[in-house]
This record gives sequence, C-alpha cells and structure tokens, in this order.
Amino acid sequence: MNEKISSLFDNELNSSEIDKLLEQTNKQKKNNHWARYQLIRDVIQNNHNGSNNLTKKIIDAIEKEPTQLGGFVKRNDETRESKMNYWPIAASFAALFVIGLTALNFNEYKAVDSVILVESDIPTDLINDHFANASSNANFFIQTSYYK
Amino acid sequence: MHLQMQISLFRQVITNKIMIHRLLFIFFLLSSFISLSHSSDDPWLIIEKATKATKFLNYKGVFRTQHNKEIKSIEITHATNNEQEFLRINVLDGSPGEVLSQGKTTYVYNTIEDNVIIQKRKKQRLFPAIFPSNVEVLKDFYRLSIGKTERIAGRLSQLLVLSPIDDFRYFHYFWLDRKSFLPLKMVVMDKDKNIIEQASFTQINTIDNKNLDWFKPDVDPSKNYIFDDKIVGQGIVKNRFWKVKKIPPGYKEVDFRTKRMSGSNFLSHQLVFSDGLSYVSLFIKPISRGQKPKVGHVKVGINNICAQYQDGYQIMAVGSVPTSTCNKFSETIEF
Repeated sequence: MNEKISSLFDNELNSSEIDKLLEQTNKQKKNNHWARYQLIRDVIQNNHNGSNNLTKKIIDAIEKEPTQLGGFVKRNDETRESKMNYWPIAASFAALFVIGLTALNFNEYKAVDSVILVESDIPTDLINDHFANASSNANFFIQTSYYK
Repeated sequence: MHLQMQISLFRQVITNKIMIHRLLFIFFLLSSFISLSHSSDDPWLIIEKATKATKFLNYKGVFRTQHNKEIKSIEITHATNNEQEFLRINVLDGSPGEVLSQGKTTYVYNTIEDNVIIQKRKKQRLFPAIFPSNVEVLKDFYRLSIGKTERIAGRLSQLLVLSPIDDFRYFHYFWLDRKSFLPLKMVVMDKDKNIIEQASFTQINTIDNKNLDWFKPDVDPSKNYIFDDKIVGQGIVKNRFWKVKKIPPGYKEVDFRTKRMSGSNFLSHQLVFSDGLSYVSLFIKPISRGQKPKVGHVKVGINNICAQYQDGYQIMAVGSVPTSTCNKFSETIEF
C-alpha cells in the first residue's frame, strides 16, 4: 500500500490504479502516509516552502522570549533587536530605570570574571553549527541537527 | 678549378643547412619532450584531475570514516546527468541518516528517535569531493609530493601528500585511483603523525546506467517526517559591528551565518574560514546576564575549541585544525 502511495506521488500510476488506491486509503485511514509522502515529494522536487504558519510561529516565539535587561551594554550593537519607542514619557521613564538599575548593579558589572573553558561548557549547538556549515565528513554533516 | 671551388662551397652550404635543420628538429623534439614530461609530472595537475573526477564520474561505493574511536560505514552514489550533479549519501551504521543533493540543493534526512528531520543545508565539500575547485589556493601553503602506489578497495591508487609549510594546518594524505583519479582514501595527521581523521573506500564501482531511480530517500513508514524550518535569522545583520584582525595565512572567509540563540533575544554569528582543505568556525555570541565568560582551550573529538572574552561577547573558534590556528582565530575579533 505504501509503495502505491509513493508511486502515486511520483506520477507512476494510471487513473484506474489511482481510483483504487484512493478507495483503499479512505478505508484504511492512511492520512499520515499521505502527508509523509507528500512532504518527501515536495522536498525532493524542491517545492517545499516550510510550514504555512511559520511567520506566526516565529512571532509567537519572539513574544515568549525574555528580554535581557542588564549585562554588557555596547554602542552600535546591531545584533540586539529592540523596539524603538519615541514616546517622551516612556523614554524618560526608561532613562530613569536604566540609571537606577546601573547604580544598583554597578559593582556587579565593574569587573568581569572569566572562567577556564572545560568540555562541559561547549554547547551542542556550537558543534552542530560547525559541522553543518563547515565539515568534509558526511557522518558529522548528517548527524547534526537543530531540531529539538 | 674555379668550378670545383664553387661546387665545394655549394656542398658546404647545403651541409650546413641540413645540420641547422637537424639541430632545429632535435631542439623542438627535446623541448616538446621536456614540456610533456613536465605536465605529466606536475602533481597539482593530478589534483585538478581528482577534482574533475569527483564532479563528473558516476560511481557507487561504500567508505568507512574513523574519528577517534568512532567508525562509520557510509554508502555513496554519485552521478552527473545533464550537467547536474546528483548525490546520495547513506549512513549504514547506527542511527539512519541520509544526504540527497541535486545541483546546489542539499537536504539532510536525520533520524532522531521516532522522527525523521528533513533540513535544507548549504552544500558542503564532503569526502571524496574534498578538493577545492581552484587548486591554486593550496599551492602557497602546502607542498605536494607523490608517494608510492598502493591497492585501495581493490584498485591501484597513487599516494599524494600535502605537507603544510607552517603550523597552521595539518598533513593530508590522499590515495587517488590510478585510472579515474577519484580519491579513494584520505588521512589527516598532525605534525607528530597522530591521525586526526580518515576515510577510505572499501568497495567502489562505476555506474554506466543513467537511470536516477536511486535518487530518493529510504522511507520508514513507522517514523514521523518533519520538515525543520527553524533555521531563521540569516542575513539579519547587514553591517558587521566587529573587525577581523590578522588571521592565519591562507585562510579566507567562505561563509557567514546568523541565527537567534535559543531561549534568548540575541543573535549568534558564525563566520566560516577555510584554507581550501581545513575549516574553522568563529562564533560571536553576546553573554547573558549571570553567565561567566569562558577563556582557554579544549579538545572535543576531532575539534579544537578556543574561547576568548571581548567587550561583552564570547568568541569561540572551532575547527579540526592545530591548536595554534584555533588560538589565533579566537584572538582575531576586535570591536
């Protein structure tokens, strides 16, 4: 049955075979297999554009993420994604807040203590990113995965 | 008498002309021989032939890769059809995994427990296609010598050794098929002759059939197939806010990626450098509050990892390169 579904997506079945297959799949509830073969076919034919609600998922994820308040303020830091807010009242409030926070935490940020790197400090993502984008070894290239 | 002198003079001229022609003929013969022998002895031309073989040869084989104690068997099928490369790589040991590559489009099918994760990736130079398309980039930093002939996977092969001219790269040994020039074996060693990694065909055959039926993944009906499109954020940073100071000679930036760090609101940057054979990733990540920056060096598997802290950012260099190279890269970022 699975082979038939695969053949259908590869345009290898005639019309009578397709009718018969559709009837069988309805009976056997092969919806999962339909979706699976459809996905693989789209990927092989380079027609897959990602999931339909990708933008919504990204926005939702951003909304849920915490925003770092303190740390190491850097001028011209273009990596930080901030929402620009020009309301004067809000700006004044934010300025007071930052001054207060800096005063409170001044001692904490005055000196940065570094620690010696050990193997357990290495995030898996770091190795995965390296192997996914800079590897001549097929095994490492395949086994890396961003999916969690 | 006068006539005899004229005849003698004429004979001398003719003889000289014949001599000149003979000399010229010998000169051209010698020069063409020297040219031929030079071209056939130039080892760099052999590498160019190997590069072409990896692109245009249709073959199927199994090779073994070894890194430290991990050994994996990998099946590879390659064909060029209508000037487009088709490649399928299938990991035979342990957890299933596949690469399907058509032209510049590459997909990875990685099985993780009950799921098969499909990811689109940038095409990489994977064994045996490890040589850069432009061999010139290797000439200034590696010396090339020809070794002995050996049998690999039942085929006669020629050993080529790429010896680095400095301490910023490893030794590379390649065994090329004598007939097709396809790399059949590769060994990477450090200067103390410790093996860093190796890959070697155990069997290989050329494919005559142009049928591409093999170019599809193995489908496991019991698994869930998931298209992973989580790799977002590439190209967000238009202007780089750092400077790359002096990097080890011969290395050039070949890729730049940006992604959002999981669980935070910050972006992580990855710069990839290569000297044509070796790769180094340089990661630039902001340090979150409460985290302590790491400094120093550690070896994980085949990779050296070197960490430095700079103005609120954690800089980490990762690569299968000597420690000196790794350290140099980690010290290269300036804000």
